[in-house]
Amino acid sequence: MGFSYELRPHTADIRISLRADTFPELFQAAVAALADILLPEGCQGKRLALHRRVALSAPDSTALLVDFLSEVLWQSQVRKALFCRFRVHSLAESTLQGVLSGIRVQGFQQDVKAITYHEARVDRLPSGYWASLVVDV
Amino acid sequence: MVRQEQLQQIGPVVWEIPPTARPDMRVPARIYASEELLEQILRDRSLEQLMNVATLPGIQQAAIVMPDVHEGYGFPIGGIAAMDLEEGIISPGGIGYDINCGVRLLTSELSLQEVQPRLEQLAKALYKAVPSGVGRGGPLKLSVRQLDRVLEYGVQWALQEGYAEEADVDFIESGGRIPEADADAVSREAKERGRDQLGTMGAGNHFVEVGYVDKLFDEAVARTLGLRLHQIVVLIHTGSRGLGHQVATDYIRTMLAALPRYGIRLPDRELACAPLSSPEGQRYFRAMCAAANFAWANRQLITWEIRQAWREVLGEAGGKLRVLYDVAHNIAKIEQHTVQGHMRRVLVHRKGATRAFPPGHPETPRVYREVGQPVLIPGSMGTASYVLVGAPGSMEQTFGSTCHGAGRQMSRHAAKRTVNPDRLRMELQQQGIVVQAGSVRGLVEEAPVAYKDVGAVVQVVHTAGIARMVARLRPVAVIKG
Repeated sequence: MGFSYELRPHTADIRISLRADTFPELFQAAVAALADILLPEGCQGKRLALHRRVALSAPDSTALLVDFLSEVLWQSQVRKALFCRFRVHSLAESTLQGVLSGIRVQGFQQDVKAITYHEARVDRLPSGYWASLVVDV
Repeated sequence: MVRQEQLQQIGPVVWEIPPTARPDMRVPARIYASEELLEQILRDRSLEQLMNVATLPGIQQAAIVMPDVHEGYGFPIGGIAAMDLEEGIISPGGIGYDINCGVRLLTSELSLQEVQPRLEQLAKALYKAVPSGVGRGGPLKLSVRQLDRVLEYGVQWALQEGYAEEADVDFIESGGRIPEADADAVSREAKERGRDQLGTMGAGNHFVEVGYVDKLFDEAVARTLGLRLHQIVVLIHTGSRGLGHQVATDYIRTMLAALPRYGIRLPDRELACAPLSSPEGQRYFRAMCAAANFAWANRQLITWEIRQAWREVLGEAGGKLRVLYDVAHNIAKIEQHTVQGHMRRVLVHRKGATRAFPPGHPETPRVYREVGQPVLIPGSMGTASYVLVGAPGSMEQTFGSTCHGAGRQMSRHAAKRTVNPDRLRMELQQQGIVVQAGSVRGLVEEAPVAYKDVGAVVQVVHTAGIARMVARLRPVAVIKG
């Protein structure tokens, strides 16, 4: 069980590559990647005292991932919070429920405008899941 | 990747990919670039993205990019697409997430020599007065009712509240207010994201810059615009902040869901769109206009903050700061243009492109009407910015549009790998530029090396006859988040 992410260059934006053993872990990877963009190392060693519920539905798994991360971004900016972990309560191909956990912050290092659908992909691999997203900064 | 052999040169700085290049293209893809800039453009996927734009329903004449084009998401950044009002679409991705990101230029009564001794102090005061960075709120936290008034009245709201002078309004594109705006079309989520952001600059490539006029290309036009050599000016670059970003996010989602209803098939989801005449298209248009009004009010609040700092440092001797002009470079507007020999109203998407109406156009402020609408082209940090005016070729060739900046050529990652922050600060210092920046990371990502040569970019639009060069501005203080 596990996940990883990579932040890769794009002319004006940032491309996120995600890899996870399971579908729920793909969403955890996405939360960790966004936190790393917003405030690098901001989550390290912190007690996660802030919790927000998330419930979403979307037409397919790719849209679900994009819409989920857009929701995390919105929560981050409006609550002035950095979300470090996502605990999935229920997840199907197009619906998702769970709880985000994070910390209050004074600000972020990177101004993320949006999570785009541009070249967004979720693929099922023999060994797990892979996804790619472009973040507008 | 598109190769140079696929392009036909149709003018000294104009290239075209014919619609036969791909079966789904409805119109040609047209590129404004010198040979040197074209070589840079061909290194990323801007032109594939432009060809995708050429497939959209109702597109008129050509999908067009300017010399500062670079790869974006869905639409390339630096592009223009005009759509038929009946059969055409409206696309949030054709405008960008930062709705009405734009530029405002303030002129002062002082010369470089007069301001130089107080420059450090002025830069510090400006950094303090204009909230910047990510997550830092502005001087106002608006109630929902107040925010709705900002969304519907833009700079008119700022005028009523005492944040603008009467004269400012005449020198803002659309008078700083698009009347079609509807606050009810903007989601609660977007309003929450923008509630405390009015009067804030943000981060990334947004800035406030103090500069001076270092070269005049056309003295007579410069005089009409109120510019003279060595005069101190202030340039503001920002947009609709989180509110605009959320409006785009909301409506891309809405339009993706509506695509099957309208039988629209797209090569990239980020091109999500709806017929302008559809309920989804109309509602987005009204929300986009509201976000544009928010952006104009934002640049107005920043102007107010700058005027406070200016007075604080320079006192009465500092004189007044006048708005020379304010242009949007991420917007869609309904305008009159000649299409296939007939005057028609079309919806012009400008994503990283500036309106450039020629002399005589009724929407240009009366005092500038004989010379053309001012066009403000910010360069990369530490390099020159340019003031141009719209030229007759813009109406004939580009739906009254021109370029918007230097155009990024290096990713932020690459800039961080390449640029040494201490050396960058030293280089800027050696050029006599004072820097007030919230983060080293932000400074490095916006280093001049990450951008194309803005001088080469404006030379292309000048040669093409779509805008004329009037003046060059050199920075002396850069204020960033």
